[in-house]
Amino acid sequence: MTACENFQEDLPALLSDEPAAEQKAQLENHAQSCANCAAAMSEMRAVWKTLDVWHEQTIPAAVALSIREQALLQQSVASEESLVVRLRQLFVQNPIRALGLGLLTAIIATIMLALRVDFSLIHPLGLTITGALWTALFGLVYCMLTAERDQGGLSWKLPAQVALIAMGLFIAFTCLNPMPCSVQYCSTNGPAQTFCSKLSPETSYCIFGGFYAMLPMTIASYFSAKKHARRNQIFRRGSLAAVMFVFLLAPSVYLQCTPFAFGLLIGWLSGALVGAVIGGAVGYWVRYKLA
Amino acid sequence: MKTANDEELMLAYAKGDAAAFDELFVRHGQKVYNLFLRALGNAATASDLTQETFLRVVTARERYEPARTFSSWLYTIAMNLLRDQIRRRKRRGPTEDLSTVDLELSHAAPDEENAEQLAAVQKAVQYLPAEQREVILLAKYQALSYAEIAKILGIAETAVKQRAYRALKTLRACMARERTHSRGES
Repeated sequence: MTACENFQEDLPALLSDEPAAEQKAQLENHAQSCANCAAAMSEMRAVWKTLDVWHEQTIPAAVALSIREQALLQQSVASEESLVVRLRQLFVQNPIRALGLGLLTAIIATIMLALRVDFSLIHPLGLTITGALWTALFGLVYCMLTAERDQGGLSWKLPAQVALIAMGLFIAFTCLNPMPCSVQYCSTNGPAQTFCSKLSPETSYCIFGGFYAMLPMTIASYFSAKKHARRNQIFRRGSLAAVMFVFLLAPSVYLQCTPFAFGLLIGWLSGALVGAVIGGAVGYWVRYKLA
Repeated sequence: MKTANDEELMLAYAKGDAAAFDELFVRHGQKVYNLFLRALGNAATASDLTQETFLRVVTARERYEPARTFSSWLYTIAMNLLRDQIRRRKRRGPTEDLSTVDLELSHAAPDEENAEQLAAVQKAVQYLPAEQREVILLAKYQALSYAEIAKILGIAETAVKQRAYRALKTLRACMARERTHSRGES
């Protein structure tokens, strides 16, 4: 790089009086020995000085007041949330703790399922592997809950939150009324009997699995979505949350389907995936439309 | 008494000191507002974007890391919002392009000559390509160093200086043209 190119590169910094005294002296010395660079410096300095004519305007008082009020409001909300935040920091911002919390959640979920599902037909090894997988999945989602937003603007936090809430609701619904019981009831009783009795068991599990996944996903994504979410984020966030939810859901589906055929498991899982994606998008979309 | 720096104030705010936010807003609120105003030439949009910038500071306060200077963090948020806004305007079509936005001159210089000069400066800055305009606004009016601007824009410091140099050349040409034009009219 020639001295003139160096000078040209550092000229903007020279105008804002940025370089250290030594470098500044070097640049000025060069300008004294080079007529072209001296002329460029003088012209650029004049332009730089002309820009001073554009003074600052005062920020409108109403805007300043509104910003301060919002800051105070957020602060008061934060103090109410501080216990939750501290708990999150205590348990989740550490992979080992996240795994521990995942194990705790998996145990609670298994105990709740055991209240309504008979585990006696499941091989102990299968039960152990499912428990370990569930622990790992919950741990991973807890880690995502505290992940920072990346440069591309993709946030893992919200989909992880939606997936966990949806999973909690799914377990609660299952405790109230396990899906195999619903399928059996609808095939033998009630107004939908004619329709349900015509379906193969795999199709029934697919349809019911879709509804059992869609309902909690819709509720969770509606209540967790931010009102000002952009339209282009709706499908992306909804799908991401839905995929996380289906991964969390899979072990519980396995535990409930093991005594039955493999086809039911696949039918239920595929129905759950479709239902969760639809539910996630619907929840976000309704919130977006109502905002 | 030792005055707390921006980073200390931000940490204090993150821990619940509301007065610290007030002080940060006093130091930077007007500058951020003027950045948007100069870049977009519209007071209502500048107000909205200033609110959005500080709202993001408020909501992300726990994620703030003092290793990064507060001003660099603040202006990264502001520049992202500014770019989004410019992108939205471009999508809406040429009717809302920057060149057609009315520049608000309520604080114009008192005498006619200065008012003309101000109008020429504003016109010339608006004429700059977006990537050069943002560098000039940050370097000249926000008094940020080129190293800080490089961090904010996520590019090399050399590239920032090159953009500034090109911007100054364009400004010089625009202002010269404007002067010739106004002399011709008078």
